[in-house]
Amino acid sequence: MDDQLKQILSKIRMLALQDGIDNISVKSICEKLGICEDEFHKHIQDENDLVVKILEFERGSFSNIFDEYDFEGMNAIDILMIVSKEIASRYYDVTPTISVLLKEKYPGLYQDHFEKRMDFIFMKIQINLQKGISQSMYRDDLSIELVSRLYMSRLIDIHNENIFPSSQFSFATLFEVMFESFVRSVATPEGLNYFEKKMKRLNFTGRKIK
Amino acid sequence: MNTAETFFVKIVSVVFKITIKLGNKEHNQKLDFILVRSFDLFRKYGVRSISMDDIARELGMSKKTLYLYVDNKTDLIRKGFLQAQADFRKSIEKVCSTEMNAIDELLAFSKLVNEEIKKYNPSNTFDLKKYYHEVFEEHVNGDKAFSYRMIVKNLRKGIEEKIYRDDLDVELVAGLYIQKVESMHNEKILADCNPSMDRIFEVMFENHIRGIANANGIAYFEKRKQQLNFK
Repeated sequence: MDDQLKQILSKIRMLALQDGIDNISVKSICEKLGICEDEFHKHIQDENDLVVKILEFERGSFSNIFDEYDFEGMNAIDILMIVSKEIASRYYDVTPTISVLLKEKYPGLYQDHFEKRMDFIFMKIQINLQKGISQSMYRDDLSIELVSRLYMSRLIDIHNENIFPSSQFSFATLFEVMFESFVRSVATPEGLNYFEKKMKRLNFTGRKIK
Repeated sequence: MNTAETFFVKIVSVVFKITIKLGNKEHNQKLDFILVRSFDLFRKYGVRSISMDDIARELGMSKKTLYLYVDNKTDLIRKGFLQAQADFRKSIEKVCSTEMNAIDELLAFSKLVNEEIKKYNPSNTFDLKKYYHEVFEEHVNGDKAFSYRMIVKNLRKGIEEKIYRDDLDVELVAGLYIQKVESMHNEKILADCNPSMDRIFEVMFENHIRGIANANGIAYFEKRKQQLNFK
């Protein structure tokens, strides 16, 4: 995916959240980006292609966090906090709130994206749990698979518009509450102590993220 | 009307009222019996696959008698679910009225919810949702709202007892927990690793307590965990 396409997709995602997915058009996107429609169609063939690319961009933006940081040797809680902060700072690029908007209209494309995204998170959470246990930051009696699946299951819940409508609950708030609860639920006393100190020092709270 | 006539009218009126009252009591008892038994049958065989004929036969009464108590099958399902809901609420309220701390109360509450959900076959829920949608909505929304209120109350109690953190977003945490208890029984993602429902419940409950408790609460929970024989 080249940089211009990334720029286009990032802008589209931002507009979709701000104006609603039905209120954006190729014309309005091009106007905002200062490009002509031909330029736009060089990258995106049709509506389906656009949806596929928007979703692919979301997954790519998320996995980039793991490519950009060297997590080797870092402690498991720090890794979780960095990832969480990065999710907040790249909000428009990674938030699933946009993909959920596409779920109804493009169920097949959404499902494919959803499964890929979940597989990736599932793998990363398991790695993080193993790491935390080996560093004595997480409890060693954890059932890694079950805890990871419960985390995933909760992630699915917070994406569910019927349960937590985005008009009432921002993804950032839900994610932050879930994130904090997750760390507390897996941490050893040492891990918890470290997490609380770090939270205070960084003034870490997703509730402030809009 | 002379005194004797007035007295007679009064007596007749009192006797009439007593008869109505006794009649109502008998009617209500019979209705309770019908609802409890029918609800068990619905839960066992599913709302769709059991007919009014089957129910009447199981209850040992004629269909004509059954229709003295309910208007039709939808009415029976609706009343059965409402009755079950009321009984469930009584058990929860009983738990919450005892002198236990918030962690023990939450444990008792969550166990009741878990036991209740275990009794439901997911395909029954599917049938209820599909063929008796209004009853389903009424039942699920009523349960959800009630459980949510109880959890909010529990969170506030735990904060007051200084065993839960005082910086909790009470409403949000309650919403997330209720959702999890409800959906853990029919989620593919959990079923894929094939743990028992009890094991999922234990892990989920422990995660929840650790997520909301302060150091005192966690210490208390650790002690209780051994007694409860959590794995």
